[in-house]
Parts: sequence; structure tokens; C-alpha cells
Amino acid sequence: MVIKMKEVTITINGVQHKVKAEPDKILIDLLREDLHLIGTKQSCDRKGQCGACTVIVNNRAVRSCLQKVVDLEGASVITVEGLGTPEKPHPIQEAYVLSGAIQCGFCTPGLIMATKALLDQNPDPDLPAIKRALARNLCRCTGYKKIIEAVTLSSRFLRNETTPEEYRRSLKGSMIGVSYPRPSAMLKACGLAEFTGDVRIEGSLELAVARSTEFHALIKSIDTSVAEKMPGVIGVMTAKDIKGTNRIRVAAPDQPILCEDRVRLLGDPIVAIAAETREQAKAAAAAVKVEYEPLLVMLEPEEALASGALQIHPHSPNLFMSQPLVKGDADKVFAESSAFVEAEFSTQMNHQAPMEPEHCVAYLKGEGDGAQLVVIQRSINIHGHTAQIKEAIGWDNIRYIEAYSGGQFGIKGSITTEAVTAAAALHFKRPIRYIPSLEESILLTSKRHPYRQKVKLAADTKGRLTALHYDFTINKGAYAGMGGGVMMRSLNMLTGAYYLPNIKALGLIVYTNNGYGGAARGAGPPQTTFAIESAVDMLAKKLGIDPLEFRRMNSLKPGETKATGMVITEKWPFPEVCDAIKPHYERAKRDAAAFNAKGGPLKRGVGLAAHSFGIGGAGDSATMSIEIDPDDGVTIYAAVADPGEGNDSMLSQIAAHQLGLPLEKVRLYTRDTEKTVGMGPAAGSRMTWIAGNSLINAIEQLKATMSEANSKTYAGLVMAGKSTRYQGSTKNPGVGRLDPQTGQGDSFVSECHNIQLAEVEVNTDTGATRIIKMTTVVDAGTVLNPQNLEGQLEGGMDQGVGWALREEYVLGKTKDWITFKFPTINDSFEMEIIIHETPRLKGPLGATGIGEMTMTSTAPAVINAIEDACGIRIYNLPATPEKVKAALVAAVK
Amino acid sequence: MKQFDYENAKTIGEAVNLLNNSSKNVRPIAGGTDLIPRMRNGLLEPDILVDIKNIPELNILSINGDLLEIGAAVPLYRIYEEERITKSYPALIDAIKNIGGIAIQGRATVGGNLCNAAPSGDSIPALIVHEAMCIIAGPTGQRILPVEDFCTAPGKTALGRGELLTTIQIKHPPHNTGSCYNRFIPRNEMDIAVTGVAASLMLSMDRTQIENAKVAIGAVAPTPLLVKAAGEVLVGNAPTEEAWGKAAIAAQSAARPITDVRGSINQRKHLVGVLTKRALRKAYLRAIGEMEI
Repeated sequence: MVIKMKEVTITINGVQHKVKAEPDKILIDLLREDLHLIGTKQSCDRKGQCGACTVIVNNRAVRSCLQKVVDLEGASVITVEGLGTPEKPHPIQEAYVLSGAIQCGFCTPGLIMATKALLDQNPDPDLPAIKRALARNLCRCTGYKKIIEAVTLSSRFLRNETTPEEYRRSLKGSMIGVSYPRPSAMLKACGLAEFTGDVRIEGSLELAVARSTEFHALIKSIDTSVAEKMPGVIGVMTAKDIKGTNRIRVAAPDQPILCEDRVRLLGDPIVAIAAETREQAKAAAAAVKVEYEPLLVMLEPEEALASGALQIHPHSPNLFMSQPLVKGDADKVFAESSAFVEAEFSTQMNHQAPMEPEHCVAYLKGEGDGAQLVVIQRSINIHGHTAQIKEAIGWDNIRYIEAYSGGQFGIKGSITTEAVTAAAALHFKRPIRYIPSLEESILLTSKRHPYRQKVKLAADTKGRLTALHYDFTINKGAYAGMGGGVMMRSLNMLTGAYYLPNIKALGLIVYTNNGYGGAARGAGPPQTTFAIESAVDMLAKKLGIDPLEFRRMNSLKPGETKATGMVITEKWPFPEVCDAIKPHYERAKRDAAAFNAKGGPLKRGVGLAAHSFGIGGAGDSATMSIEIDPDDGVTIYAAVADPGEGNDSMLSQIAAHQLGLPLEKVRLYTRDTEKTVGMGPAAGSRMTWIAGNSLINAIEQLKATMSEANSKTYAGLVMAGKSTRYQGSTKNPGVGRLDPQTGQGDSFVSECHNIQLAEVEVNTDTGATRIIKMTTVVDAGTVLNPQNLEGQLEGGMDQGVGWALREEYVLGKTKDWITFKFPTINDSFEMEIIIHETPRLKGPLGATGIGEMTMTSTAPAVINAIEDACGIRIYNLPATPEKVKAALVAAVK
Repeated sequence: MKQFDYENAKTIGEAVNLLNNSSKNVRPIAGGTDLIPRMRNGLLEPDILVDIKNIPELNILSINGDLLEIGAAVPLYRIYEEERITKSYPALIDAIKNIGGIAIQGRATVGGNLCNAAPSGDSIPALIVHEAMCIIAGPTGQRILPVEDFCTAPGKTALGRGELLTTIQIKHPPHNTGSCYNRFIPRNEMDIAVTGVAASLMLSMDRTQIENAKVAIGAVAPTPLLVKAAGEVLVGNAPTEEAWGKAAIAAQSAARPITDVRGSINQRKHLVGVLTKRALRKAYLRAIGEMEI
């Protein structure tokens, strides 16, 4: 068939282009591929779901992934690059930066364009108008609150009610406790920040991967003969072409880059194909024929633990690991105690849902055996992951460059597409790019582990918690990933804010053929805390004690011990946190009672949940460097990823504060294995503590040298013959391993304390739950950047509500942003944050971490509020309308 | 995506000629907001796409006397930005504001939503209770079909080879009429209806009696359904909660849902009842002028 090309004249960002387009050409490809306007993003792979590709066409917001180019004759198109530049930004871009509405920044260009289309038509939009305009622009980081604020601030700028300059004048005084915009924000707002899919390497091939269509099977044969002869195909790569171990080893060497003789998970990679275009590579991958012999599929732990069950991996029984925790004598207490509650809880498998798909680029620099293999992706642990790639593909000289990161929420605790792309670059000896679809990205990444939990919790007649039984089984899925990490974290933080003298717990981790579990915001404690904080509410009710008072009176005190037996030595400000929520809690109770007095199918309720989240693992350590530059500014060399949490702000504000420098004189070199050393992952809310402390240590050395040299300048240090670069490090006390028999030992050196108040409305006709408001009181020590701290809490509450009410990953069925239901702006709710600051004695400037806190306590607060509203308790997340309605019907019967 | 040819039709006749092709798979395209992703995913593989957006008649949006005409290529935003339409056809407006989001509504069309013939298509129950008629052009001339007969199975319509939906016609509702479409989705945005219900009510002059009533249900059968029995139990009765309850039961017994990823049979049956009552309550408030769109 002859394809009719059509010439169309389009004005893009004020410049006229004459474009010859095929009928199927869409605007996003013209913008990104032909014109390299990379600010227009895509998450949903052209399904029109995510909104990241929103541009303005003839004054209307349009999805560029659904817009055919041939329809654009005479049209005017504006992309984010057409609004402003970092030197001369548009007021909307300024407003997004100043409002703290940009975390990872992947959704930002689309949101900014949707905001412009709105404000062009309606210069003073109210909240419903804002929500309507941005309803289909997804953001996973912010909880939408600061996005709404950014739209409002944009409209004020555009109406000349205030100016960016005036707004910026409030950013002064100390470097600490002031919300300076994050260093990358303006680049992201202007669409100039390069994410992996934006990187272009000349002569790059495109990679596609043929994946298993079976959940568990032996591979009988692989036939690539048809695929090899297809148009544009350069070659195919199978397991035998991989020089290294072909195993990604995190906790266990169990995950093949390309499967040899067996698949253990739907979507397991089998053949990689390189072609000139992505479409050609995908077509060839679809033509690979694999013959399977199906094996029994075991999706749940009980199936994998059944006697005689087929062993999934040769190196380990299906019971991958178990860990008891024994403190005091819980059995004895239960034998004597009358007041206890007992229940079973479960949490679902979930997807972390970063917006950016798992794009990867790899290429060889140099020739022969000494060539350097450069890998570009968005690891949060570039040195650790580089070591894993080296072993798996058998190449030593690897440099990892971290691009800007479109969110991660734990998913990048594991490498994803890096190993196969790196192996392909070696095998085909050409630069190569792997752009998996969203569906493929969802299939190949780690997930939040599902937990099955049995809780038995007792208290004495005065309401003091006395004993806990806690048995839990973790569905590991097909691969070990971070292994026992989540279980250890669950045990370390088992009793959160409370003192519990007697505990008997047992955790099991079981291999199955389900999605493999990895890090996911909070990684363990959110699952555990859902069960424990539900039980705490149930017990308070049974004892007739107010749930806030019950929590407060059971707070740990210095001198008492955590679940692992570790003695608390520092102030434990949890009672003060409870006191701070009290007026809000009482107001919420009154509001709900007044509402419910009116009758009708809508019932309102109030729920609490608390946690003291451990930060700074026992024995954890870090190293980094600081160098004074010829202009007397400094550069920080540290492998500290900032996928949106605010680590860049943390490093630069601490350094500016300690050295008395303006922020623009603090430079960050954080995203490259060259010139940095291993730092461990940006995970577990650990970076403020561990990187912050090592930075302060490096700065202390630099300052000591400055005073020896009696000079604060680069020239002065050089003249005095002093080094210009200083390595700082820190190591937490203790040993980071619990006793294998008792689960006793050193635990986290610091906590972020929090209590969460949920106000909900349950529609008893449909079972649908609406969040009216979340209020959170947090003590994370000294606040370095209030806006970033709020951003973490708001995003955590939003994700926590999504997890509590509707999100669920179902292997083979969850494929995109319709089938995975993370919150939209129309699901957003009012949030109030109350900050309590108790400086931590050993934290950097008194600070500690914050990133995962509200993810942990939100779900149980919501579930407790549903119980308060309508008297039914949901034991199995998520609390979907169908489950709530079924429980209501069952309660009536 | 499979390669295809692209034809830009300038007249209805030209489009019909192109569509009337026995050897090729020919599809009309208007906004393309469903068609393009479905083609990308290989769910549809047309040989020829016929763009109907440039046919003048298909872009007409007019109210002549008591007749509303919506050309099949009219994007949704033009409909809800027209005040005379929002006032008189609230169920339709409820429905089309649910389709896509703002950036989709600039391109997506009611005609496309109808021709997709999804069981969950939001506009279809609304069009049914507005008693809309489909004007269809074809090789042998024009024919008119009530909208409730347009969808024949999931993804299938009554259009024969060479036929093109050109216009949707709706008569102006009489005085004392109100209508509403509402649906249930797991989020407040983005999702496909688990269940959707539209209702319209015409009251007597003194507003004490229901003179005419229509209820249509979506996503609970292979096609959106007009539930005649629900209308019949309402006519002649007073507009009360009791009446809504009877209509809800009639609607529930007409529903033939399946269990899928979006919802179960039980949940959908239950929701048909809840949503029918809600739709009737709102339709009533609109009929007596106490509720805006």
C-alpha cells in the first residue's frame, strides 16, 4: 500500500514548520523525536491516560499522544519550552517552583500546560474549576495540594496581585527552616531536565524484549528465526550471549537477565532484540516463538508451602526465610490476661507507580576490553547497582549515570531494565536504548509485598499494653529482591511508638510465582502498622478507653525498650505529638457527630493511627566528599539520589548553612559513579540522617583546615599547601542484624514520630469512602526545608489513602493507569500538617528523616475512621466500596 | 501499529463511497481519542481511515425550533459550552462531562462514544432518556433509528457497510421535565463506569404526577438498555421516594451484568438500584427547577 504523506504547516512555539507526515504520525512523536522538544513527557505510552504530554493546540489543552499531525494544518502548538526558560520563566513556571509543586517533575510540564490553558480562559479559577482542568493530569508525588496552590499562585501572578520577586523576598534569613525551591525545580518546570527517555545517543539502536506469557513453566525451545529476518532487526540476544552470571543478585542470585530453561513469573524476559526502530524491535519480539511446558502456578504462600510443593528456585526452599522475635514472656501474659483482642489482617500486593516507565540507555565508550560501558537510568543506589550489573553481565568497567528520575517510591531499590540494556550494548556493540511500555514497566518491576498477619494484643486493667503475638507471612513473589529486608524492618518497628514488655512474633517469607516484592515506600512497617494500629483501636474500644488517650499512655519512655530490646536513651516526644493532635481530634469528633445527627445514608467518622518510624539503621554508614572550588564555592560529591524527596535541598542547604555560602555557590555532583563513592540506596528515609551527617563531617574537616590555613578561600588553601577536597563519613552505632533466634538487638538510632487523624465519610448505599480531611502531627526533629517536608507528608498521605481504599496490583491484569487506580486530583482531600520540632541529638543539625512516615500511619487511620463512621471494620486492604458494602450488609444480618 | 491509508472526506457522499468498500477494512475517524490507542495496541487494524471531521454537516451544532442537532464530528466541549443545551439536556451534559477529561473533550465526540458501542459508554443512556434519534447516511440513502436500537452488542452497532452516523437529533423536552445521568466509578476521575444510570421525568402542570418517565442503564448488559418497565411503574404516580424505589427494582431486574475487573454481578445489580434512585431524585429536582446542572 502506498502511504500518503501529507504536508502540513504548523506553528510550534511561534516558529513555523512545514512537516511531511504519515497519516499515523502523532504530535508527541513530532515534538519529541523530530524536534527534540523533550519537555513533553509520556507515562502511559500513548493511551491518553496520564496527561504528561499535554500541550496547547489553538488555545486548548490537548493530549499530544492522541493528536494526529495531519489534522494540524495551520494550527498553533505551544509546548512547555514555549512558555519560558530558567533565565526568563513564565509566571506559571515560577509559581510551580515557588509553591513546591514539583517533586520528581515528570508530570510537571503537562500540568503547567493544562494550567496555562485554564488560566487563559479563566483568570481566577475556584477550586472546582482547578480540579476540573487538571482532573486527568496524574501526579504520584505531591498529593496535589501544592499543585492546586501553584495554580492559585499562578493566577495571582498573572493578575498582578503579587510578583515572583515579592514572593521570593520571604525566602531569607537562615539557610535552615526556609523553603528555598529545590535546585532542580526550574529546570523541570521549563521541560529541560533530561530524564532517561530524553537522552539521545547518536546511532542508537532500540531494544525490545520477548517476555514469558506463562506464570511458571519450563522453556522447551526458543525459535528466533522469524524475528531475526524481520525488517530493521540487527540481532537477537538470548541467555547464552550473556557473559556474566546472568543473575541479578540482591539478597540471592536468583533473577536471570534472560531466562535459560525456566520462567517463574509472567513477563520474565527471554529474548532481547535490537532493531533500528522501536516499532521494528517490538514487532520482532512479538515474532519470537517460545515453547513451554507449564508447571504448577503458586501465587499464594499457602500453595508454595504445601507439602510436596514444587520448589521454585534451586538454591532455596520455597520458605525463603523466617525470623522469630521473642521479648519477655507473651504466652504467660495471655494465659493470665482477660483483656485482649485477636484478629487476622491482610494487605494487598501493590504497585509503587512512579510515573516514568523503566527507560534505559547504554553505550560503550572507547574500544576493546578496556571500553567503558555507560548505563543511564534512574537508580537510587548507583554504586550498589553497578556492582550487580558487573557480576550479571561480566564487564568490569561500568559507569552509571543517573538521569533525572520520574518518581520511584522504592521501585528503584532493585535494578529493572539496566542489566538487559547493558548486556545488549555489549553484545551488539552499538549504543542502545530500551523504552519499555508502561505495561511492560509495571510487569517487570518489584512490588509492595502482600502480608498475611495474625495479631493478638493484650493490656492490663489500667490500659497499659502488656503483650503481643504477631505472626506474619510475606509473599515474596518470584524473586528475592531485597530479601529479608522488609521482614527485618517490620520487626524493628513492630511496636512503633509504644512500650510492649512481652512479644512473641514470627515472620515467614515465601517464594511464589507472583509479582516479586521489593522496596515500596515504608517497606514493611506500613503493612505491619496497619494491623497493629487496627488492633490498638479495637483494644481501646474493648477497654472503654479513648483511642487517643490509650495511645498516649502507652508511649515509650527513655529507659524502656523497643521491640528488639534496644533501650531508648533520647527524649521520646510521642506524648507531645498526641497532645498536639488533641484539639483537632476533638473538633473532628464534634463535626462528625453533628453531621451524623442529621441522618441519611452518609456517615462520618474519625480515626487515629500513630507510629514512630525508625530512621538510621544500626551500623549504617556513608561517605562523601566536599571540594572547595576556585570561586570559593563548593561542590559536593556524593552518590545521593534525589528522585523527588528533596535530598538536593537537604545537601545544599546544610552546606550553605555550615559554610555561610549563598545557595548558588553550592554545587551538587550526585548522579554519577565517577567521582563519587558508594552511599547505599536513597531509601528507608535514611538520606537526611546518613548523608547529612557525613556531609557535616566533611565540612568540619574543610573548616578545620581553613582555620589551620587561616583562610576561607580556595586560593588561601592552595597557597597553604592544603587539600581542596575532604572526605567525610559517618557510621551509626550498633550492629545491623537481629539475633536469628530471638529477634533482639540493635535497632534504628532515630525515629520520626507521628500521629494521624483521618476524617471520612462512608456512603452506606454504595460502600464508597470519601476522605474529608487528614491531619498529621509530625516530629522529625529540626526542619531543614518546610515545603519539602510538607511535600513528603502530603504525598505520603495521598499514597496511603490510595493503598487503603483502592489500589491493588493484580499480576497480569494491572497494566496501566486505568487498571491501577492511584489517586487523581478529584480524589484529593484537605490536609493539615502540624510540625513539632524536637532536635535529635545526633541528627544533622538536629534533623531526621520524613519520607515514609505518613505512608505508614495513614491506612490504619482511615480504616479506624471507617469503623467509627459505620461500625464495620475492614481487615483486608483495600477497603473497596464492594468490601465495605458487603461488611455493612453482613453487619445488619 | 499496522500501516493504513488515510482519506479526508469532504462530503457525506464521499465518506459513504469510501466506507462502502467490500475488500478493505474501512473505519471512519472523528476525534480519534479511542480509535488511536486501540489501533496502537493492535485491537483495530483498519486498512483505510476516513476522516469525517471536515464534512460541514457533521460539524453542525444547532437548535432549530424544538430540535437539537448534534453533528457526529462535533467535539464535546462545544456541546457543554452552549448554554441553551446545558439548560435543556442535563442528562447529556452530566454524561459528556464524564468522557475523557478537558484535554480529551476538545476532540472526542458524542458520535464516537455512540459508535464505539461500549456497554459502559456514558453518553448512551443519557441519549436514550432524551429520546435521541440517529440519522444515518448510506449507499441507499438516509435512515433514522432510535438511539436505543443503535448498539447491538459490545462494540457492535446497527450500521451496515457504507453507512455513517451523521447526526444525532433530540427534540426539546417539554416543560416540567428534568433529567440526570450518574455513574459509579472507583475513583472520582478517570475510570470506566462500573454502572451508569440515566433518567428523565416529565411532571404534570401542577407537578404532582409523573406524566412520562424514562430510565436507561449502562455497563450492566451487552448494550446500554432502555428499561421500559421502570418508566411504566412511574407514569401516573406521584414523584415520591416510594416511586423511585419501585423504578429501582424494575431497573435492577432488567440488568444482566457480568463480573469483570471493574465490578461483580452483585455489586452492579446493587448499584443499578442506588443509581436509579439518585438519577430520579435529581431529575425531579431539575424538573421543578430546584437544581442546576
